[in-house]
Amino acid sequence: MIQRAPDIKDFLRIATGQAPLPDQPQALAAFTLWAQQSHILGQVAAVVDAPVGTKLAEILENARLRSSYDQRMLTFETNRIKRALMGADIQPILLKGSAYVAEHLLASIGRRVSDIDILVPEAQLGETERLLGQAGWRAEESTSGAYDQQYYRRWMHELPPLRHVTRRTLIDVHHRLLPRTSRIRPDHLKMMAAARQIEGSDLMVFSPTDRFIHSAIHIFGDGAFETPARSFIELYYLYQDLSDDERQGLLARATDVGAQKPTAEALWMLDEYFDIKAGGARASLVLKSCLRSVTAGQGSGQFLANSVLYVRSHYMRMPLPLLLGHLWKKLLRRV
Amino acid sequence: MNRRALSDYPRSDVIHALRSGTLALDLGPFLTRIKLSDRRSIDFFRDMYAACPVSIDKAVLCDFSLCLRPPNKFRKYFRRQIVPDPGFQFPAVPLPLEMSPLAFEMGLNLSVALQCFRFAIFHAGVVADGDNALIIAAKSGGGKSTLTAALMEEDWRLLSDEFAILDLDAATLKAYPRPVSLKNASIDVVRGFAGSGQVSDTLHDTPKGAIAYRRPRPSDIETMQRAAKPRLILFPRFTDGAQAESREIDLADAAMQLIASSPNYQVIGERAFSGLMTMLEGMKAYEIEYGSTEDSLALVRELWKAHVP
Amino acid sequence: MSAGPNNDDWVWVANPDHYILHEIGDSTFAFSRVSGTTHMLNLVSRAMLDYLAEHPKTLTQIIAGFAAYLEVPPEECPSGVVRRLFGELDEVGLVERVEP
Repeated sequence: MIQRAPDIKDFLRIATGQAPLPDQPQALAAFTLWAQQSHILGQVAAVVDAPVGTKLAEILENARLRSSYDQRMLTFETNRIKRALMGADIQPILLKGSAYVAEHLLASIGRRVSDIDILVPEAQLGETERLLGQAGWRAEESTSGAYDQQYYRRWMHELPPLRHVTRRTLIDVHHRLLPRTSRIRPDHLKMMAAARQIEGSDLMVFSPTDRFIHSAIHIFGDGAFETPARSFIELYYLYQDLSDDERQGLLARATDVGAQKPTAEALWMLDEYFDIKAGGARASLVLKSCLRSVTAGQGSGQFLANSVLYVRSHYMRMPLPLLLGHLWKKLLRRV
Repeated sequence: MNRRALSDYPRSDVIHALRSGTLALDLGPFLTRIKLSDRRSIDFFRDMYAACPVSIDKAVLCDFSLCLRPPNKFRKYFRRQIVPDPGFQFPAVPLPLEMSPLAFEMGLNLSVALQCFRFAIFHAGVVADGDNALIIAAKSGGGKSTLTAALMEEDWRLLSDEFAILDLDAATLKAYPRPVSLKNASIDVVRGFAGSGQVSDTLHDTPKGAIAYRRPRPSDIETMQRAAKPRLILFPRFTDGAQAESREIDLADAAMQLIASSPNYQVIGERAFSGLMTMLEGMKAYEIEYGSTEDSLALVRELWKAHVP
Repeated sequence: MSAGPNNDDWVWVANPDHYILHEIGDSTFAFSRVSGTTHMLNLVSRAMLDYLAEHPKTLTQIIAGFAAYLEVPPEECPSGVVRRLFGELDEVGLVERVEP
């Protein structure tokens, strides 16, 4: 089995402010490089309050400026979605980063984000697309072809990504949480029914429990493993923002909405990497060894582990014949 | 921290540090960790950056990391190619291995343009006369780099051929004196006035045509911590056979063009706005058109004399 | 393209706390704290922004009142132009809808 590098857990503790920055220059340089490459330097910058050397202060300030742009961008795009849908009887649920920012959650502080995800009832998909289209969000060039459009509409859990023609920002409009073809089928209707309004806004967010569950689905059921440190820190902070009662109710709710497996895996991860006894089930050996090698950084198993996870998550999203069909058509189109 | 000029280190130490990715280049406001593995980019780096302070200690904290690597394992052996890897996903076009100096320079530009937010960056050349700076805005085919290199011969300090790096609090420009990138016909022009010894070998048939680099002078490196206050913005246009001419343009339009050329202005937000507005106070902007280097120098001399006491 | 639908029950205002203005010559640079974007306004757009900052108005009131604000005859300020000026400020988020 591939061994986990000894420092990943320490690094995660430092990155979440539970341990001080390393004293040794070499360890400090290694940690900083890891945080840079993991896209979590903004989060590190947010928890460091002790005085640091000049160069590190500059590096952290740079990261702070970068991540505050992401927050501002998300807030403004949310503002524009609200404007575009003004007067229509549509109340989209903000997902992931835009929800964390709108609700001022710990998970939003210093977090890097690139696009916006919203969830609307399937029946309102057409009207949402029309109104967003009038406000300048159009199908991305790369997916505006007839085949891709049809593929998305038939099989995926979201509209083809929409890009704003002047601001170039990207929105994913979902009507469910995973593709129709996915093996995990979380009950998004139950989760939507429990959603609530953001104070002083027409926009909605999931309940805190469902927010954690959705993040777990996204990370463990949808294969968001390109940046594991970022994903783990997200779950860690979402868990921190839950009350004791909400924590107690997590697994029951996850079972109720059909997301028991990814939620249990997320809780296992919190135990494994943050020593939080959250009562998660055991993860499979394959998942464990893959995670360990991914988080180990530059280990020789990394490429292999990434591919395993990629196949795993893609496999979970789509039955094999369908997957092959899609790849085949993609190949043909390129020639 | 142990930091000396690159040329003061034993050759083998520098090569070893470059190959193992522990060399840190300390240039202007940025420390960059560099990893190179091919002979051509290593020779280029040792030559063009000889006067620059570097460290070969792997414990040094860096702003950026740049590695030149083959686009995939296969390309290590067959029709060898190279891409700059600044540590984040970027769709860089792989170049043939012989063009690795270009890949290196492009990679450093990418690192600064896409990862620096402490300073507002505008795409322009900057030279300084003492503590007063001249911004030469980039326009394709405008002749920014030729003019920059020509002004170096007139004893202007080279701050940067590529970036105006604005200190947002002081409203001054930081020096980042890297090799001046020359294209096609301008290569021989600059060899003519600067001497062949100051210009690198030419890389032929690159995606940008023929490319060579004019080395910064040791004096540019020695004075690189001295920021300069910008006084004048020029938008140069080289037209074969053109009559030398200058025309003042609206400072507001010049500001919009600078903003449009910036990779990070929007990201920085309010501080970039207030920093830029402070910088522009009392500045003038001109379009200059010319058909020869002599004419361009004469125009700069005349405008500089008129506006900078 | 527009920022979104409009309705004559809705009232709009420009909130000076949400932007910074800086003049260079005849142009005004407006930095929006909401979007983080810098806009260059000519004299007329600048006047529209100031007019909207006075107090909340519906689009009909804006169309009816802007000429008088500029102290020009109404025919020099066609409603299509006023609509467009408003639309541009709305599009970039410099005006916002408030409760009447």
